[in-house]
Amino acid sequence: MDTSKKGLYHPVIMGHNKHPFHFEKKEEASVIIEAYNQLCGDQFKLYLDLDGDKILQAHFHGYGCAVSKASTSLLVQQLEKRRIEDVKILIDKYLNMLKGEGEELVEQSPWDELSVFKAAQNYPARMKCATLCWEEIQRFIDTK
Amino acid sequence: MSPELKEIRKDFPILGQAHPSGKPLVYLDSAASSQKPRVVIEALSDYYLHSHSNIHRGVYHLSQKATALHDAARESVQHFLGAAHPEEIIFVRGATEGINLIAHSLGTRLAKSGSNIVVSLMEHHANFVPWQMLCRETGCELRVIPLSVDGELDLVQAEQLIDANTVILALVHISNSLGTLNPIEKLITQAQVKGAYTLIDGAQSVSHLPIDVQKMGCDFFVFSGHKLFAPTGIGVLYGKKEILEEIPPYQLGGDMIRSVSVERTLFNTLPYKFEAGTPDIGGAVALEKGIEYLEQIGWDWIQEHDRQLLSYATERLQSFPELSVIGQAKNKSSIFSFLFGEVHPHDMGTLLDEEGIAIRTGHHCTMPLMEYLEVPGTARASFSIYNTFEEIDRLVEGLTVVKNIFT
Repeated sequence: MDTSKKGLYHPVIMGHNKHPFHFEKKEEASVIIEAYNQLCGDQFKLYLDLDGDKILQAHFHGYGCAVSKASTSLLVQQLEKRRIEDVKILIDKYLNMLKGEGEELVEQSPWDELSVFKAAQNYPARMKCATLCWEEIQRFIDTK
Repeated sequence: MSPELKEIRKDFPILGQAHPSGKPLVYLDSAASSQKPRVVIEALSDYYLHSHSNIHRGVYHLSQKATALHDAARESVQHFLGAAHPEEIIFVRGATEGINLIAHSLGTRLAKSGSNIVVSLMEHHANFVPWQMLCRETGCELRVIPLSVDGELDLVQAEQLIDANTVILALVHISNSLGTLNPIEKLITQAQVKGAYTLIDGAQSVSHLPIDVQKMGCDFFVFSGHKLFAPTGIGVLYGKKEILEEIPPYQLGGDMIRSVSVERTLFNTLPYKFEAGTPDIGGAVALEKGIEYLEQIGWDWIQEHDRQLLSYATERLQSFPELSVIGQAKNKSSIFSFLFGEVHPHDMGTLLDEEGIAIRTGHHCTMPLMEYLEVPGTARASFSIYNTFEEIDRLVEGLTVVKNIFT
């Protein structure tokens, strides 16, 4: 299997699956968002500490496949120190990238890593794993 | 591979199909749906090429031909299940519709506050949710037979749960998630002593062991054709004639009536009372062919093959120290549910697919069971008459790939 091009199990994904970023419970966080995929039972809690419209800290915890865990880990990494309006732009870009729409993203951080999830296009049944927590944060922002 | 198995595999055209990975397809998901032998596919095609029209009331040749084929299919199912009368065989869309029919037509009459309905923790949602909803609507109590750690029904608990207030015992014959073969005769007898009706979900069992509903003693038995080498969309509800005659129809419309006037409607006799609208005639014809195909192979061969596959799979797969088998009942069908270390079942499913291997991953429509097991899902390899030892070897090789990627 070619893990560098078509395959879903890219080293970036496997790395974040094994060593997820800020993977811990923070029940005292100012905002707790739950994400649940009813198709497979994947379930995460996202813990955000907000200061006005800025995310100071982000953590997550829960259970999911390598793809959902890694995609959430990379998301959480990107949330910290960002303003909500910037997060919204980031999420839109990410989701558009997965749909194969929008601008061609330059190969620099964070897109050098986030672009590995484009492989999900080859696995329609796994697309939700790459978008689960991203869509939940998007929903949170849209209803805020 | 034995010569018989080689011949059987030739009967299933889809098994020779190339997988996009370029590797030969290994289909290990027959508990979800079996593949179809050429005779079944041709029976369906022949029916539409040469015999189709609407059944009943047509006075022309084609309608009589289609009606005769539909009637013959019903009689085949009757003999297959050991039912006493052809009109005890109701064609439905599948096991799910059969259970919903009984929950609606009989359940709503019986369920009330003070009574109870007994199911088990290993039920498929199809034999759980209709009863749960019925209980919620009526105040009837839903009692759930617990399981042992091996995935067997707790028979001591079952005996206590089935009591004089039990109106229905609805039980799966073979668990689709665990492979457990339940001692249904014993439980049917217990329920009957207490005056309860009994429904058996035979979705998994019909293709793995001979069924004799009269010997079994159940009031209702349901199965889906697509797990028995027949097309999707056709299934069967068996019900004892004297009960089916007493209960009201499920759906209303054409064919299920004797006469209709502006003021009132008289219902048709069995089995038509429960078959409103034009049925899946072609599906019934193809189901008959599926049954015929299975009977030609014979139960002795099928059961021995099942036993060998399960035993070989269990032996080979347990060579992985990180693999844990989910469901270790003493009496078990050829369904192998497992967890593989920390690897999520969906990751396993995707990686095995790249190796050309089709297994099912997830909760298998048994979420109460998964909750009890404290797992979000499992990986499940399930076997049928066309599976081989070599395919189990391929699964072992596939899991080795998974292991290498995840360590």
